[in-house]
Amino acid sequence: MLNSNSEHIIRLEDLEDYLKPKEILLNSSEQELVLACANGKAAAQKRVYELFAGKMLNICRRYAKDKDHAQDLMHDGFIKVFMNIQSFKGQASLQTWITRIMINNSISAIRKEVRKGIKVSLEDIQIAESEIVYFELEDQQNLSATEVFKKINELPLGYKTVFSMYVLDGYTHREIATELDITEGTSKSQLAKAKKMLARKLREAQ
Amino acid sequence: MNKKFTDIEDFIREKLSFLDGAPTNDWADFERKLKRAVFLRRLKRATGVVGLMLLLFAGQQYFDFYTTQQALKAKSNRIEFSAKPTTSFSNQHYSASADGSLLDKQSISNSETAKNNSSSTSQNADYLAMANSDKDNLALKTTAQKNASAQAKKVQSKKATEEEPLVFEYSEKVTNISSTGLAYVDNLLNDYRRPTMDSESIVPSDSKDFFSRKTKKKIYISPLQEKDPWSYSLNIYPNFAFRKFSVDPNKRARLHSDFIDAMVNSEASGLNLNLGFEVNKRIGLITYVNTGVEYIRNSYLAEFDFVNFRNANIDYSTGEITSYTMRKDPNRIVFSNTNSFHYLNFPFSISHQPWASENVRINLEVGFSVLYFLKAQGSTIDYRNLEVIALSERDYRKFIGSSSLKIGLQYYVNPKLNVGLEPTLMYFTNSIYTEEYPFEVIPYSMGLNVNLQLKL
Repeated sequence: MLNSNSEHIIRLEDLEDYLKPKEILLNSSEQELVLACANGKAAAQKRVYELFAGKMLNICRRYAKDKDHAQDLMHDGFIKVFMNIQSFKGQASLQTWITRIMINNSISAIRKEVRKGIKVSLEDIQIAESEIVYFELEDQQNLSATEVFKKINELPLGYKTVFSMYVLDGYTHREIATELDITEGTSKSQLAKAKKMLARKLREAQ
Repeated sequence: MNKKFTDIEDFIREKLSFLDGAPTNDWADFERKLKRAVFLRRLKRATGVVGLMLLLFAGQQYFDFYTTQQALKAKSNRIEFSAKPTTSFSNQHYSASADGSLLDKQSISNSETAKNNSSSTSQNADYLAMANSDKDNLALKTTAQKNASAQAKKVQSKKATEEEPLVFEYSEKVTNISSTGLAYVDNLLNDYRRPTMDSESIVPSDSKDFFSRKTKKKIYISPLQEKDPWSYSLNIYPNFAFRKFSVDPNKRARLHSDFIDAMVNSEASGLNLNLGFEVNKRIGLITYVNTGVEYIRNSYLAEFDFVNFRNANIDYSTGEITSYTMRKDPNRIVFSNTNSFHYLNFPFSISHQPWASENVRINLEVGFSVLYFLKAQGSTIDYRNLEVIALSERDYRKFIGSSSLKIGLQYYVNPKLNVGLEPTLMYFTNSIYTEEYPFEVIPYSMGLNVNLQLKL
């Protein structure tokens, strides 16, 4: 068992495809991987990349316009990861740290376009944050995670960004307002409209 | 068991918790980007370090030059005498006048001074004659005189070749008075006219020895080096520059998919023809500050040869391609045209020449410049609808910043003319293309300057 003490566990089955060099690929804890990456070891970088790329691509996909864009965002994010990995001190898991970099990188990349795309009216501002979009779907319904994800990606960029930041990445409206350089009211209205549109799309998909 | 969600947020969170990332197989693509990013970071750091070192070195050179100038000025304000064995310093040369009044004339016998300044020599001769005629009168001996006498005794006991020069410092007051105690001597030397020495005229010959003593490593100064610290020149240099384009991921929707590869290869390199007027100021022995204005013409051959399989449907409100309609018959597009961009460049740089022979100098240069975009000439293929458009129809940024690093070799045919060969690396802070442009220009340019410089 590798790295049983850390939050993120590197599974042996993830390592099956990697054979060289063995000392890095088969016997490394997360800390050792980080150290090897900081020293520029390509094998370690490759392993970190392939361990997390799938999940990170999903995260970037939520902020990107399309799959190619998401891939570019992910690449940029990983470049930042490897260029700054020596600053990773291990307070959180490597996955959490990489996720935060991906989100920040994606938001920076799309900030301008999101701001441009958001059209706000006075009525929108008045939509309360607490407005709940009731959604009576049952857990056993046929919609898969992939289909739900696809529906989120069909939202307009402004809706999708605010929705992802608030619902999935745990940002507050104040933080969203700061990150996207919009007002808190705009963030709330975008979220409410995103939820309404998404509910409608999911109902239609049933 | 059925589960009802009160809010869509809970539903989405729960659903997506099961979403696992699909494996990706694009490590090779990513590795290439990573290597480029690492290279660019190293390049930036190296440029910064070299720039800083050159600045520090230039500062040191300037400081040395300044202090040397000050020292030479101070030196010119002193009278230097060579104490040769035959030189005699005695009371007879420092005498009071016959009428008992305080000494109002002083004579200094100095053969070296006499050589350098005939007027002073004749004056000194007069004074000496006067002093000799009054030598029985009150004699005063100054501190300097004592020292001089002692020195004279010493030097008589040595061989002439071993003599150290005796420096006589100009002093307004005579503090050591004769044993008679009569004299309060003030402004004793007021009427002494020091030999006039032109500080400018002594710099070239004197400074050479001065510098060679001061600096640890002797710097070779070519006889072809400019004598005047300011110089003005006309430059002509063709420059072949290489740039790299990549698709901006945020603007992919503005770019026709059939066109991407063709466009990337079309503007990658080009020939610049630069004409410039340069002003140089020498701030050290071999260090210069350079500025001026240059006219730059960047030309390149736009060549496209690709197959158009589909027509783009463009949303003109956003400028983005929303979808494609497949063509019944693919269309091969072949296009070739020589295009050019025109700029005015305002450079500022510091250059240093760490090695030189009589005709050849190695030149290290670091600096920055501001380019002002003048116009674009030619035509190209539009990246959205694949129609031929004039380059002037596009929007461009007016100002572009850049920093540069040059390492070159200059051959001086004569002080007025030199030919240079300079591999140049430039890093651009932005490109001429506006936000609409779907390509990112990799912000560095590598080129080879072949420079013909004519000093005015």
